[in-house]
Amino acid sequence: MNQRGPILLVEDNPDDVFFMRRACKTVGVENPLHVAEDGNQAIEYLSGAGRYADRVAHPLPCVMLLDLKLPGKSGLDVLAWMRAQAEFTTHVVIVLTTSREPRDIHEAYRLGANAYLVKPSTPAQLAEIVAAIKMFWIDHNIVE
Amino acid sequence: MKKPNDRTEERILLLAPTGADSANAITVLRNGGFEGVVCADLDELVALGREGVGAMLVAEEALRTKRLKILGEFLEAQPSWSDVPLIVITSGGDTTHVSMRAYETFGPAANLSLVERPFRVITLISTLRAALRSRRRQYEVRDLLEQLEEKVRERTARLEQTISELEAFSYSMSHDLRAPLRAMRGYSQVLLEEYGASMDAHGQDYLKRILTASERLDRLVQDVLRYSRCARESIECVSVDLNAVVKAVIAEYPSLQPPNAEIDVEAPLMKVRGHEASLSQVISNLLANAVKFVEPGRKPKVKVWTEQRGSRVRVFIQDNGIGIASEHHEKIFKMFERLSAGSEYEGTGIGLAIVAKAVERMGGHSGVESERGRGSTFWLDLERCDE
Repeated sequence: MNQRGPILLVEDNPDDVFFMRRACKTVGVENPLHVAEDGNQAIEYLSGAGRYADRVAHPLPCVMLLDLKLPGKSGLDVLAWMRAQAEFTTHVVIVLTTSREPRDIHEAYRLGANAYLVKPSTPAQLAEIVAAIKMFWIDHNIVE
Repeated sequence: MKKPNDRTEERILLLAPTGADSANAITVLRNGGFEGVVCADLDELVALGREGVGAMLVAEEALRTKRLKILGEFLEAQPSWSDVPLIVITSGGDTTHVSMRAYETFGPAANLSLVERPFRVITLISTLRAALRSRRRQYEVRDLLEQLEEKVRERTARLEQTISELEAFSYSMSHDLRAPLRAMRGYSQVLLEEYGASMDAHGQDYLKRILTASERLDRLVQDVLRYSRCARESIECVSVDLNAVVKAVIAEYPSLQPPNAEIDVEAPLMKVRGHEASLSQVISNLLANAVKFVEPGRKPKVKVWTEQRGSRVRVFIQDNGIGIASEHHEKIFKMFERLSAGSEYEGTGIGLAIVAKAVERMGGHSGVESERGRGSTFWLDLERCDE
């Protein structure tokens, strides 16, 4: 049942990227972690444009972890774009952000996020979250 | 606003069906220095009156018409600042049918004066002067009201601007301020985990201090955010089952459960009108305080109950803690006020400010009864709800 595609982390903060890599290692996530540093890069990656043209090196992700506040196109813009493409209507998108704003939560679900998580304060809590993501979204969840 | 050369608001609208009457009146007005405009009928009188009028001067005969009611409607429809002076020139002798009717129709609702024919010029002039004088005051009131409304509009716009700036601020606070903080915490923890063994006790201690300080700052930022959320979020008050709220809060925090604490809920708690998420925040802050501010070594014991007070419900949370001297009872509900110094009792000084603000937003009050060393009883006063 395991999803084999990579995890695509859309995150502009290198510290958060570091902690995510470390958490994935701690938890033993086998799927590779690919990073897009802003909204435009995420869209490029998904559409296999430019430097991401090689689908073998940059396969479509099984799970996308999406920060909301990004330079340029926001996470919500990326999500809206995805859900407007026939190809990406059902891809698993998990919002991972610092925002607890009801406005953001509402908008993310309205646009079709599969889950909404608030970035935890410690590496240990992040590892817990990554373990849960691995178990649910990668090991057990079935996608089309 | 008043335009200097615009005499519309000073003019006397004259309605006198017989030519001689109006010619006489016009002469009187002109000699008296008034601005007079002759109207052909009641409709014109009312139409011009709408544009601006100092006073209306009407001969009794002009009121002998079925159109009389449009004058009544005009007078009734005036804005609250306006009360147009209406002067009716009546026939001499016994009060005639028409002027009685005018008096009955407008008397109670209008600023009506009757001047009897034959009138002396000075009588009419002084009546008109008095009328114009009072009318001028009315226009002044109108201008002041307009200025006031303008001012209110301006201030409201400025307040809305400030609020949206504050929102943007707290949004960036949640994101931009917490991000480096999370990194500091994270790297310190990673450092401690991965390199702690190769550090001496001093090194480890310093690192732990960095961790503690950054944790404290993180809590502070989160509490400020919680406060600003509960101050500005739009809330809708509905019937809330306090029993479920209290139960859920206790279930969430091990510090509120045995063996750490004993919380006795006198069920069933009465239903109140409130906002569930806010109430849950309030109860959680109060219970956390109740079990926190206790003499070291003493087991926290808390009692929760409700009492009906008319249409309100008072929720009580009583503890066996260190208590609060009465001079501090008001102060503790303010932002950043802490009574215990330093590390004795950990806290950000925002918890009770959140309680006070949230309860206020739900249309209630909060307070405390307490004495130093004899425990505290915090209470909330909320609207009762039997649904």
